[in-house]
Amino acid sequence: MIGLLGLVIGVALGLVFDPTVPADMQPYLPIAVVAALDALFGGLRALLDGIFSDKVFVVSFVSNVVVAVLIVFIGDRLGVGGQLTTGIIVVLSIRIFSNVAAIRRHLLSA
Amino acid sequence: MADEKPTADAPENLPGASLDYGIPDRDDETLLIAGNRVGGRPAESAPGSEPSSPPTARTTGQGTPGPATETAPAQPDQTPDQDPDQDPDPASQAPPTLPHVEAGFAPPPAGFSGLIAALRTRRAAPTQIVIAVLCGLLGFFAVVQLRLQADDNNLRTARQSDLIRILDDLNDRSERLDSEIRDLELRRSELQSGSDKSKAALTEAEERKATLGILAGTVPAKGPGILLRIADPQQKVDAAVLLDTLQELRDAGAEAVQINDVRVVASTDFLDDQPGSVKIDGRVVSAPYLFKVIGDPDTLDPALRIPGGVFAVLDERGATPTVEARKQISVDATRPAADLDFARPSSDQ
Repeated sequence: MIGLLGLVIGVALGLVFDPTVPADMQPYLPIAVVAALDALFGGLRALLDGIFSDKVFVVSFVSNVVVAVLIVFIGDRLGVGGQLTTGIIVVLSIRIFSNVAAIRRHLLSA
Repeated sequence: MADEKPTADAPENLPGASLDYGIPDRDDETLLIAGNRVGGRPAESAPGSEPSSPPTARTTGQGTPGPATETAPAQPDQTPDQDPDQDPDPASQAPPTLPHVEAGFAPPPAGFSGLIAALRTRRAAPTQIVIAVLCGLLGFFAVVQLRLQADDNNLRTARQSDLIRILDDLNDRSERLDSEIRDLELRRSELQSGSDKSKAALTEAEERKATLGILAGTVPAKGPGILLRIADPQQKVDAAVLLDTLQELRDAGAEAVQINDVRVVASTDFLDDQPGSVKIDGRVVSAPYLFKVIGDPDTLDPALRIPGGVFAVLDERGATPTVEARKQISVDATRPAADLDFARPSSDQ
């Protein structure tokens, strides 16, 4: 899958360039990464379910990241950024877990 | 699963639907032309739209998997979408298909082989590129974040409130350490002055000890003084005369006295012995008697010559005293320090 290739290339680029993240963006980066991971696992699961759609994947990927970052951003403005970050991480983790469970059922039939 | 649902309808379509359905490969053209734009919308209104617009049906089929990718497996919407996908089928099929939630979609091949197959059947397409870019971004930022975490004690990624807390902690700690430093410095200066004090006390004690040692006759002494030689040709100089002489010297400020080789101290006693000799502190001392006296020569000498004094008495007895003032008299005889069995210092002075 070409996406996998992209992932590998991205990791390689990150390792090679080692960029510095602007300070304003730093609290949101981990959230964005986790949200994207959630989308990624969702897409993998859909793929195994046979209902994968490029468009949906792209949209869900982007919207996941944007919404998660937006929520944390608003939380920061409201002074509850830390708590909201935790909440989002919990939600996304639960989704990742359930997706991974579905993937596992597909791959291992267990 | 596929066989359950549309048994009667279109057998020839089924194999196509089985694997490829969910996979955009087959649908590339449709997706790009119509599906991309319209895809999402009909999905929700699927049941209603099926009869009305069969052509869009295909795209709806694409759209429906969307929710499924993000959430739990199949939603009721999906199945109706599925049916229109199989073009020839009339909309009338919709009701029966509803119950078969997962039936319409590609029967997922079990195990890793299915995954590999799913991955392998991909072909480069614009959306695929987008997906690749997104995955690349994910990998990139994941790595960046990992680096960040690894790099610098999380301070750069820390939130402002956390930073403030950390700063407060550090301030508290530095305050504590500062006060500790102050305490220790105070203590050090105390100890230093204390050691100065004790050093001074030690010096004083040393001097005192030296003085007392001289007085007690336990250490040699030297200084200005006189040499008094008493020749006793007639052997008439006895213990009493020598004691008088000594007392006269003491009165004149003699600080250390030695007669021949006997150190004279406060407890020294004189006893008559054979004529021409006396016992001083139990030791026989014979004439001529040589007094080594440390003191002020200008005081000692006149003291001896007082009329009716020491010299007069000695002259009476036929002895011939001679006095010699010296800048440096060495009183080098010593006596052992007395061991005190009972007396102890009553204070630490």
